[in-house]
Amino acid sequence: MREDRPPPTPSRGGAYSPPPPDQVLENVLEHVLQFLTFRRDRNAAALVCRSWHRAEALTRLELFIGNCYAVAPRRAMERFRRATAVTIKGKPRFADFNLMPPDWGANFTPWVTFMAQCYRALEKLCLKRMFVTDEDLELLASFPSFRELVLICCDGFGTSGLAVVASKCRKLRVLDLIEDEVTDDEIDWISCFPEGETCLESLIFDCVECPIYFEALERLVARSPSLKKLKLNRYVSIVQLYRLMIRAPQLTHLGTGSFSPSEIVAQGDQEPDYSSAFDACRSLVCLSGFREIVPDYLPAIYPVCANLTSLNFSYANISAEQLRSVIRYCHKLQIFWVLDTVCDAGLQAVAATCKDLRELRVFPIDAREDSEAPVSDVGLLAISEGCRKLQSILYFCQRMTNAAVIAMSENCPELVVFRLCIMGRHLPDHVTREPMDEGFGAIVKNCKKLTRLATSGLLTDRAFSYIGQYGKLVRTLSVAFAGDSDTGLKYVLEGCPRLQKLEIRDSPFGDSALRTGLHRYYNMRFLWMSSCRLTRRGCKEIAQQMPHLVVEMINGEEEEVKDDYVDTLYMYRSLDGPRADAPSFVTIL
Amino acid sequence: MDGCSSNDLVCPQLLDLISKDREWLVQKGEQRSRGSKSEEKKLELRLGPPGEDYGTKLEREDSILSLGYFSNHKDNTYTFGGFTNTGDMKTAENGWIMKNNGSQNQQFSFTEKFQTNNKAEKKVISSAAAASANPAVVPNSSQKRTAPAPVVGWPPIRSFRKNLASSSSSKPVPESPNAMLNKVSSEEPAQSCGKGFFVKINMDGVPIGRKVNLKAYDSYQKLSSAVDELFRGLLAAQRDSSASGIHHKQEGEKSITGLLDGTGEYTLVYDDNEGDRVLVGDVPWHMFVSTVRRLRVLKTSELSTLCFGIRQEKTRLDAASK
Repeated sequence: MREDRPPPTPSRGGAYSPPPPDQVLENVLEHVLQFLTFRRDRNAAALVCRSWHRAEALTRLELFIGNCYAVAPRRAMERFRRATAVTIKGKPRFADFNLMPPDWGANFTPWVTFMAQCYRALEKLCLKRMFVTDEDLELLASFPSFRELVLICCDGFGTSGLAVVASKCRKLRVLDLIEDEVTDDEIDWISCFPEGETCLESLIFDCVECPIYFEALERLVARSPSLKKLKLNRYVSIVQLYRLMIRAPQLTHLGTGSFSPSEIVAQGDQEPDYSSAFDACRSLVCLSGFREIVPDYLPAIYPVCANLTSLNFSYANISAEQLRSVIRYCHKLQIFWVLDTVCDAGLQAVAATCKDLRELRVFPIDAREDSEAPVSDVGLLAISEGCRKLQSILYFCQRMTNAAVIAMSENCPELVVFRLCIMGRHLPDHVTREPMDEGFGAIVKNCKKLTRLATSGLLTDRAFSYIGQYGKLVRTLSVAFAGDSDTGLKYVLEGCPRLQKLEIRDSPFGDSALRTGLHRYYNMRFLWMSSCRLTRRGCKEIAQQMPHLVVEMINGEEEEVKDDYVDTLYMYRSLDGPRADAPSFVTIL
Repeated sequence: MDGCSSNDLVCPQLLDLISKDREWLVQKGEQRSRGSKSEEKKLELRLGPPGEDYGTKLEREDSILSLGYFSNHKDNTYTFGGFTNTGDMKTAENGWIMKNNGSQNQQFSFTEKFQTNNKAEKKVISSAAAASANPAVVPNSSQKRTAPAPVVGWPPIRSFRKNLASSSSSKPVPESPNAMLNKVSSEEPAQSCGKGFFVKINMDGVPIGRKVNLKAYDSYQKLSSAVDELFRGLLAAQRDSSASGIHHKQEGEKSITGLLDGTGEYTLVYDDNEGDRVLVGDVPWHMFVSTVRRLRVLKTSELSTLCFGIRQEKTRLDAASK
């Protein structure tokens, strides 16, 4: 029956013809473009020509939306039809600090509604600062291949939404809840994971402020052989932690929960050998939690210290001495978050041991302007001298000197992120009484790889002139209570070609400064200016001159704007014009 | 610096501007060194009540002094976000800036309505109307000498990182009220506001806690019967030791009685604002409502050891930890 064999390819006119050349090209292109993973590379490839644009769109598997209002869901998803992983960011960062009213927006619902049609094969989702409802989660849970959910700084959902995700996502591997606000619907969501072996690899719920049913969690961990990351909330006591650890010695990332006993433990009570549980976790590299630590239990973690690359003590009220007892073993530490209760002495201990440190964050235990902060320029200097490979620093303090900041700029040339928060507003160098201009100037000048900068303390326009002059790679700049005049902002807008995100509060910049940035705004993700000197008229001018910019005026008070000044300006480029879901206190010019 | 070569046109301009500033800064420096006490006094800097010794406040003074100077520089009618300072402000306690020619006004963010539960930040309310008529708004803490009036969102710390001082240093006492404030969602006010006063309530043997709205009751008796209703079903479910733990309707529920007088199997206790565990019913109702932070339903049999043990242990561990 050889005659009945169908022709090898669909033919026109009977004879075999090879596929047209541009079809070949496109096939080849698709194969090649698959190797491009960085989205900047992909964006560049898409600009080459129409066929490259098409091929790139069809091969992009990871879709990144930096501002949920910059593009409508339909447009994004129709272009990138085959994406299986999506990241969406919503509110600007200053919303974290109550500078934005609730109900402002960043709703996930319109996105998930579209995904239910276009992206049924969705596998991974990461949302940051979005408003996500339980119904949204329920819809997500119905996607058959869905396996990874990461929610960062989101709100709008509760444990009932988690329960649906747990019970319906049969292939769930990752459920990471990071710094979210989760309402307690009093549902035991842990019990909602189906019986039998799970494919869970990561379960992070340290931000969930609700008690959990421990026995259910224990059984879940016992039947999750792939579990590598487990971060418990503070309702898990140290005894319960022990029971979990002995069931999961394969963990690489552990959040220890409260790290204290749930009830009073009288002296002489038989307590488990916590140290042996840690010893059994040979692969542990990342340790966090310690939400309500009783420092007596600290020595239990000694066995894992030598392998740790990441240690988060930012909820642990421990002293310098207590820290020293731990940190002296942590030679491989690269990421370290800590509370300022460890004082400058504690930071000196870190500097002495952690030669490989890349990221340091020092949080204040008492986040008020007039509190006694136990860390200062002394600690910063010590870190700069000991940790030469430092790339990222976030440092809260009450006292700082230009000398220490300059020293850091010279000692740590690898710095990419420098965020210094001197908590008292407008505070100068506490030794020389000068503004902090020279310190920040040195940072932008000497740290040639710097892309993110947050300023504080007393700053004049000179600081901004330095930033504009030297901060050529700066993408994110946060300014608060700084500067003297419009000139400051002008320096930045004229001088920083890579600026993407500019967030300013309570600084004397006005309309004239705003105007100088017209050439930049289409290349930026957003501009935030609150409690500055902008007028409605000035903002309207910008809106009129730049049609693809969405200019939002967010009012503090409900009633009509009585004077011309703008409380908050939030401005961003958008392909699809102003959003339809703006609440009443937002005026889009 | 390599970057400058391509910006040759720009650099000179910037330098010109800088040098202008430098002169200006020098002027400021002279002003500062020349500044007599009387000038300092004129330029404000009151962080305490009048007549206080300046010596101890030097650090803060100088900082505001250097802040004060630049208002001379550009614009004497310098305003911030729409508020004009029409006269001297007398709110020394708040560290606001006064100038003798009255043109400076430190900006305070007026996004009061955005705050929900943040105890650490007092609400600062200012409006244009208030500014012109009475420029000073004195927050509750007007008696504090050195604290500047707190500003919304500053320092930039997320709310769940605030109040660590109270929640972490008071181990092993169960979480303080401030820990409840970690949730900023408006539907769950942890402190008293108009609509309700919710406190968490846990029962021995029941893993999931509930919440009660104390504003809904006006007597211990009503509270007791509410607790009975809340937990009756849950307790029966636990007794059945069902694996899932999700509450469902039960038959054979036993009512929970004798919560207040020690006659029942369970007794109602609460944790107060000082971290002590107290029997419910000991104090008048209104006093209870103002000090209660968390409720617990404990087994009567374990009660005396627990209460006693907690106070003892608290002192022991407090001594040991610091």
